[in-house]
Amino acid sequence: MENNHHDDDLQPGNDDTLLARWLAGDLSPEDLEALRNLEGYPEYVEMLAALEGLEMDEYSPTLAWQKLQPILEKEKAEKEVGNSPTLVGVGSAQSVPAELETTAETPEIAQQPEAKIVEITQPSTAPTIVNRKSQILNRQWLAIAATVLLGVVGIWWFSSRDNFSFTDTAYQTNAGENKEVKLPDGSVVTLNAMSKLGFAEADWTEGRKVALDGEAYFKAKKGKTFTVQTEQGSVQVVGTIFNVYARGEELEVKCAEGKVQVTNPEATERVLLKKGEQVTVLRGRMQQRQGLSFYPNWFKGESTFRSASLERVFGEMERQYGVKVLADSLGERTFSGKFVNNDLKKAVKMVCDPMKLNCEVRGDTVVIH
Amino acid sequence: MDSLPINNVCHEPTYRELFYAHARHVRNFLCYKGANATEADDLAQEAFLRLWRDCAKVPFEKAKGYLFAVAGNLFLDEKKHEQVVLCFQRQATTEEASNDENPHFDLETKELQDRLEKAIAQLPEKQRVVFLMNRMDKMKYAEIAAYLDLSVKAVEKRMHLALVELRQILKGI
Repeated sequence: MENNHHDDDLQPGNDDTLLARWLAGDLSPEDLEALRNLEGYPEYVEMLAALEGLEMDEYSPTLAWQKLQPILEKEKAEKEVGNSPTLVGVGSAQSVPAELETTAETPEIAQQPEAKIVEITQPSTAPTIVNRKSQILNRQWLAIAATVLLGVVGIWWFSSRDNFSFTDTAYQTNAGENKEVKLPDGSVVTLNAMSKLGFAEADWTEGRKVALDGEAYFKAKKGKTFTVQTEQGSVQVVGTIFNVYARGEELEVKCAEGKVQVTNPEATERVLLKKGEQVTVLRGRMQQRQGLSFYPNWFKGESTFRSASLERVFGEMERQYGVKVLADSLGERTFSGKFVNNDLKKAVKMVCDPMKLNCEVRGDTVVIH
Repeated sequence: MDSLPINNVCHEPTYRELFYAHARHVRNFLCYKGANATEADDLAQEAFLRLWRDCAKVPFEKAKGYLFAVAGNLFLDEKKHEQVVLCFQRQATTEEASNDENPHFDLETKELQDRLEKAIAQLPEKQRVVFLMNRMDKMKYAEIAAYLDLSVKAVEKRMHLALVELRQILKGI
């Protein structure tokens, strides 16, 4: 088989890994020459470009873990009899949200406080601190405590966030988690890690309005005005594709398609973004409109930055991996580049190496010396 | 139970870390082999369950190889897979995005993507798995080699061949 192909392609030197090494960026000047002379080279380039547009469907390890949890619990009970190693602590704390998960199929109000609980007991993804104290507590007690807490957090949540209109339907993501939400009109919102989205399903026909805290990528269907309310300002569109980053004192909006209107919280400043433009509202003040620094691509498993403060870069790393980043001072320097969202060590390297920072991964902490 | 060393797979936090490190890869690997999304989810879960049952027997360094081997076998045991279903996201919004103000993401690209999907489904399984692990999961050849218990050279060959093959298949679609 291999030989056939080589004959077809008339490859010099019988190179049966050339294309592979090309993709890995591992070619010598001679190899590159050979590649350019390779039959079908432009087609390979085109093929790979088209491939970039394909994405895997959504899979959440966090959800998968929660599903696996009750089954492990059962195994554990059986193992205990056989005097084998047991699952304690984390397992027991997590069984609470896991059970809730199954009763609340559609994420509705109940999930808002529930997600809050998850955040408290389980900073979710990858390396996390095991709460050793919880191992002492017995399971039932924890379940009761969690239920009480759930109520309390729920009340606090809805009373303190009135102005933020998380109304009857809310979604929340944990560290390292992305979630795709389909709105009643068919518009699709992809939530980045540690983000919240809420809207009133009942009032949907009167106006398409959602509230956001965090980052999300919107594909809004054409129709009546679509509004994204954030604490840092609001975004209005008719039907288009755009990304909203609303965290802390910053609101950043990127317009990928169509037109997007951005308004500051006091509604004193307003800007209309066209496709390929972005704008930032910082502490309520509209900044200069700019060309799109890069097309939002975090939902492809990478976090990309252009002249971003290290604070924002490491903040994103904390959210993607559920880790804590410790640094005395990050200074004023900015970072342009990206990191992967599925390999902490690699991600740290991708930021720290070019910035010449001395970084160290210790379990669920990243220390910057 | 706390006395277990952290590199022991039976140590619960270690096991959990393994889960978070490899669950997505194991699950996607099953998709690349030809499982649909639900099958892939279920079989990946089953593979991890087996790992837990065998935790005392599987050394930490062998855990990911174990997971892939088990997942692969589980997939074989499943009913026949006449048709390869790839777990790609359906990009429903692209058509409407392409009808105005969007000349760069044109119908041609969309069409090529559709053909590409069909072509990938027709690739021989071994090539498809390596190809997609590299392209979709962004894994280095050395990582893929470790997961699949192959030499890096073998992975590179499959990768190269996958591209050659894809181009040939595309011509006929």
